[in-house]
Amino acid sequence: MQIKRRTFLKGALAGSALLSVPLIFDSKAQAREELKPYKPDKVTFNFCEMCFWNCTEKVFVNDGKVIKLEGNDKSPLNWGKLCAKGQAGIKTLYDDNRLKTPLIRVGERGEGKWKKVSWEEAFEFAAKKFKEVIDKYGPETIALEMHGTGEPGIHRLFEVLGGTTNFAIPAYSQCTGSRDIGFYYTFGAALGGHEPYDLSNSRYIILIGRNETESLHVSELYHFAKAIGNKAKIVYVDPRYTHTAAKADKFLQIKPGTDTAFVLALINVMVTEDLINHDFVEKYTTGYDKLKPHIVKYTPQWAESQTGIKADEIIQIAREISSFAPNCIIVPPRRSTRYGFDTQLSRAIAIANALLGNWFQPGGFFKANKIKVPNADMPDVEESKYAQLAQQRNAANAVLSLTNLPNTTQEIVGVLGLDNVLWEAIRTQKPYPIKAMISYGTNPLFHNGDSNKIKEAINKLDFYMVVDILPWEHTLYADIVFPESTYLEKYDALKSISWKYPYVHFREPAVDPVYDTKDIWAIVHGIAKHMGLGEFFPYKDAKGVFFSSLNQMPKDQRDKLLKDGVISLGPIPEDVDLSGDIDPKVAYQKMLDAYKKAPFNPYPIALGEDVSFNTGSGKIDIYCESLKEGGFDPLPTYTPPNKSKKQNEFRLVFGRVAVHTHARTQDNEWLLEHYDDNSVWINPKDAKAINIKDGDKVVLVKGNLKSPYPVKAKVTDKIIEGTIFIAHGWGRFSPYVTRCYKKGVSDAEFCSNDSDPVSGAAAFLNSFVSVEKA
Amino acid sequence: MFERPKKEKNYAMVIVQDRCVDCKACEVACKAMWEVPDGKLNYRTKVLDIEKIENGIRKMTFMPILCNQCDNPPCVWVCPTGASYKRKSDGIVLVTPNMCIGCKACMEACPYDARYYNEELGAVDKCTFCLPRLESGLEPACVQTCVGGSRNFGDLNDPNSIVSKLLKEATNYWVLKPEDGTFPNDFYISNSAKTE
Ligand code: SF4
Ligand code: SF4
Ligand code: SF4
Repeated sequence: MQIKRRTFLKGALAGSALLSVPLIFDSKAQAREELKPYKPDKVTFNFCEMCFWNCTEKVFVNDGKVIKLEGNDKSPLNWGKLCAKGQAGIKTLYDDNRLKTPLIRVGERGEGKWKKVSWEEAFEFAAKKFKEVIDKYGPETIALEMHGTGEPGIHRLFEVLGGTTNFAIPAYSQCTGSRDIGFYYTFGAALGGHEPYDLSNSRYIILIGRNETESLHVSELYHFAKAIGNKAKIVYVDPRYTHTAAKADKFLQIKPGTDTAFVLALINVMVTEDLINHDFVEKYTTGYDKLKPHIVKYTPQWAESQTGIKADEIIQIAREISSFAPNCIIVPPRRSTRYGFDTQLSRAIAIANALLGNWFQPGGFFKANKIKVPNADMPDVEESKYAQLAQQRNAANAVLSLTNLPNTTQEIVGVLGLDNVLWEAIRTQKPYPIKAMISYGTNPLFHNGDSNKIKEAINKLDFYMVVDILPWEHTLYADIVFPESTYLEKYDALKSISWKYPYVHFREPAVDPVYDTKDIWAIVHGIAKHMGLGEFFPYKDAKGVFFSSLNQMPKDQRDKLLKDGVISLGPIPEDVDLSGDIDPKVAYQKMLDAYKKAPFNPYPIALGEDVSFNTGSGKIDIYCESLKEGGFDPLPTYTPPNKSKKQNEFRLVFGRVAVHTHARTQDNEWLLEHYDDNSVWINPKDAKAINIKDGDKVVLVKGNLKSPYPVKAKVTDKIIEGTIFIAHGWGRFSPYVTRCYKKGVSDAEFCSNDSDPVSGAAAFLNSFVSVEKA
Repeated sequence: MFERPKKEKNYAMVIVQDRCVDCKACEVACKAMWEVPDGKLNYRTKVLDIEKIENGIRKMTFMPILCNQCDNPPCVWVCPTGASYKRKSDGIVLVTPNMCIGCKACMEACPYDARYYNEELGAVDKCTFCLPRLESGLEPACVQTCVGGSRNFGDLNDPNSIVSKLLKEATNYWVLKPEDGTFPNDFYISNSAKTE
């Protein structure tokens, strides 16, 4: 039944007449049932897999059902907190749309017609297919893309099958690649998945399109909120007013693709007004002398013409942030796959931070630490006959053959791969045919730009294998689908994470699998056994892998882990608290003194330790020789973004909402309550030009492509003129995920598939589309 | 003049408004915890997005709301059956489901829109400050998971509780709709780095 609710802010005077009734008198006390304290039957330990931050958690179970998820308050990662997605993990566990048995395709690719098969049949089928591909084309023609905690399991199978370099972790090429390469060339360190931003101790934070509150990870956001509590000054730069803008002291609505101009101008002011941290720059960096003449032309006035941000504003911000050095930070965007010049932006941001001297300093970048844990005991994969065959054949890395990347980038790509280029290699079958692909926990039809090309690519494969939890769109194209258990139904390998506060946590099943699913270690074990490679998987499932590492741990560590669900190094010193009437200098000193006694040290530079950098020079490379040698810019430069050639075409940008992860939570009932369809944000001026009103149903059009499911137009000046915004992960076309089927418009289909020349990572935001009434 | 009644424990929520980041973790945690039926209109707590333009600058505020466990609770006064009541010991306002006839008078009387009708229960339901959790030594579910560290809970009678400290140090605090004379136990402050 619908209940008409009163508007919250409307004054209601119901209580005022009763001011004289201060009594609490319960005449019915006898009639009431006694309240029972809350007590679950069972509590198990886990870490969240609703996104890849992996917050440590406890799972409450009653009558064999998971009833509540709760952050583990002993974990220094998330201090007992989970986000909405984490809290809603229960609804993924009990989603009746889940993959329930192994499936073998019987219809055409894309049709989604399957037959249910037993696990034995499924293993046999996959084994046969892999053998065929190896015999016919060689092991190097097997490819893999993967995302999630099970990566080591599927990657091990890939290596045992003789798979070589043709694999990718999309988190690099589709997300953080350009940012990480930029920092790697500057500091000799990639920032990684758990970024070393010391937000909680920062007094001035500039976020360059880093939407902390909506593209959210619990601890980073918690630390950001702590900074708000400390009255840190926050500047947020984005073409769109997001919820992070709402938390900022200053929101700068920048023209899309011009962030590098903004940052170069900040550097210009810092250099010309001599605001830099001289001690730090002299001691730890190289190439400042070359930066000085280079930066002259990037004046604030010039930047104003590019970015639309007033020169005075830029000057003021540069002065302000410098005055807080080193306890301040310029935060780069996490998903930095935008315009194809993203490494230049990342380099500029890295250099600006270096000039502030905030590396390994409170409020800047902390040093991550890690607790060593033993690996599970397993034979060397190189002994596998297919691995040896691959070694003999010594095939080229397909992705590197198709690109022309600087040497250092090639090394990193060798480890993380380039998913965008890998799919292109499959589509074009160049430089040699790639014939088998495994997608583990990742949906290529939603993480690639111009995603219809992926369908073409899949059709070039002899064998496409998918391991996932729900029947998402890519499963419709798979030859075989393996249903994986959710994180609440399985063990997993022991996990030690490198972070400000190092910690180890583990996963154990809270309940038996709800459907006929297995963990990834059991899946790869099954396939390998059917190929005669069983010896490389001595454990029949993740439980064995977990206990093998656990049993090698020192007893006291192990006991503590099993008792608390997490181990960390403590006691952990408290963050600075500037909320009272305290001199900040004193507050920082107090914290640093505490760290002098701590068993780990996130601020070695602040504490006067000698630090060297993993770069060519051993220092922070403001000027990068190795880029120069490869024929790339040794100092960051600016290229203006591309322009639309037609009238009334808009740049398509996308981003996340706080309650969904990528394209993998859109079927979750509780999250759908908060966000169940995306809308097209369009500026009022643009909307007027094409005669669209707020709430109109619209579709996106680009060439022959038209989005199939109409969505609402949201007419708002929160988005800058000439640009439209949609939330990522919608436009769902798998009929088997019934809660989100036919909902929204897909960014992947419409965005660009360009790439950045230095990182090789994708560039998604160079696409222009038109908006039409549905 | 109304005087707040004396209670053994004076449970209160102190919400640091600036620290709410609208992540909705609290809403989902609460739904999971108390089996609040699916559907946007069913909630015990909610975060409102309030938007206005001031001097040409957009201001967006996130405001967590929940039952205020009012010391002068109109919802209790209007309940014809006594299903809605306020506990003497700690001031928590509860509904006894089997006494509730579903007349919804309390929903109309509450100035804060803090109650909903639970079809599955056949009774009106509302925030209990997670009383059953408190009795097991746990914090309220929304407080425990609050990503921004915006929600703080404790006993105002204890001068060392986080809520007492926050109110003591706050330069300014407010309650919602004071003009309604409900004497809320949810307090709002703007800014603090403290959390527990
Ligand atoms: S940030 Fe949220 S979804 Fe990600 S691991 Fe933590 S609780 Fe889970
Ligand atoms: S907030 Fe509403 S439901 Fe809660 S005690 Fe006050 S009047 Fe009653
Ligand atoms: S959990 Fe906390 S920060 Fe998140 S929306 Fe709720 S009150 Fe706000």
